[in-house]
Amino acid sequence: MDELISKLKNGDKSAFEEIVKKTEKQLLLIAKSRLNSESLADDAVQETFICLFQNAKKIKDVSKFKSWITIILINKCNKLMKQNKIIEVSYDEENFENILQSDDEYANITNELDFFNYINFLNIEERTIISMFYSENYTTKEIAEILHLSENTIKSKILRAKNKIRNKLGGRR
Amino acid sequence: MNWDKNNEWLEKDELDEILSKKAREFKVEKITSEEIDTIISKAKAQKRREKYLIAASITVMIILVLSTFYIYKSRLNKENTENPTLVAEEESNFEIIIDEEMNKTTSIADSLTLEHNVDILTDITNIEILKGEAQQIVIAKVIEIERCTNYNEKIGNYTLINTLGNIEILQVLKGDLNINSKTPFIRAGGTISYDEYQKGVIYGNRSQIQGAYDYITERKKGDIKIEEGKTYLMFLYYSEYDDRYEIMAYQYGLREYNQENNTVLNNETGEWEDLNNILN
Repeated sequence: MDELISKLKNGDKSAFEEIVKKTEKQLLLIAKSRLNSESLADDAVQETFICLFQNAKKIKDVSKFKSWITIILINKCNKLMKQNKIIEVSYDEENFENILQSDDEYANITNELDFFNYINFLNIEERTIISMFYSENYTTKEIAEILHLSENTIKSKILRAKNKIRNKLGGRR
Repeated sequence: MNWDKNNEWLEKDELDEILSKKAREFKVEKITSEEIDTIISKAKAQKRREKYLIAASITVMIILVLSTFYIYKSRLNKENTENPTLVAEEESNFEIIIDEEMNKTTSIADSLTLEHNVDILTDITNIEILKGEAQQIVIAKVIEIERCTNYNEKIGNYTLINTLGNIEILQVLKGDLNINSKTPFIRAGGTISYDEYQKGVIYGNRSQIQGAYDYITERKKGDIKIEEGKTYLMFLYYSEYDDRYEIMAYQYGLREYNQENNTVLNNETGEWEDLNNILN
């Protein structure tokens, strides 16, 4: 990644393409978790890449690239929320409850749920932290830096969010 | 990254496994090269817009600064001209104002107009007297405004500012000038540089002006500006000192002519009058 960023700083288009391909999934996961909207998440990620292309030369510490681009993404998400007057995203609770109340085996239920079904009822901060943490690309330290919180707060929030999910699953797990 | 090692604080359970698995299973449509191109072109377009905006902002700032400076300077000049140092001889006949019209039409940053109250023994407002005094009465087109000067080369002395140019005679109503002939003229009033004006002040014992101006305009109060390309009814008198015809009597001796209906402009009333009625 370091080499790609160095190339991008020199205006290499193929390096940009490679970075986009490598980071797209990660960024979309966070954006969709935060915004709970596929189209808005797409917009946020696209605007983030536009910003990356325009400001690549400003990246001073290549090792901090992941944090840098994630902060940009979160800012873009916040901007879109403001523009679209989104205070807190809603989620399809009815569908979620229907799945949980079915008589299916737990294994079958988990198959039906996707990542967002598990986290949509969490608040925006918890969703963002959980999406970053379980994508396995960010350490708690990195998440703390990006969200300007202490590492211990991040850990607490992860555990609290997990408990909320567990409770929502109705003790099935 | 060694996820497990980094997260030893977490007692990993089945929910952790599920959430990690679900996050991994999250699928996105791979971005295409066309989409990459779109992103790049949008990025470039935005950058260009930003540059234009910055340039526009800087331009607005410069205009604001210059405007503020100009207003400040104008006020300063106005303050200066409120108590101008004038030579006693002409003091009562001078009125000093900022020539706003000239600023607008010529974009000259700083100019001053001196308007004279002229006392003339002859009643130049009386057309009958004018007809008698004029050697030549013609309809003529101003084909060239040559220059303005406050120096008379023939007598080698500084004078009031005069405008020099050439006219083409279209009709002769009195006198012996030839139709279609071209003849040079001189007319009182005009605009010269401040430096030239100052020379006249020094050598010609004229009014001193305080404040910095680029140009000085001098004209009789109420007089009109002669314009190149326009056709006028002119009352002319041959000036030995200038070796050319002088368009006499200020706004009364130079009246714009309208060929279509044979009328001339009354510079006092602003009305167009029949040429035949004036001359008969």
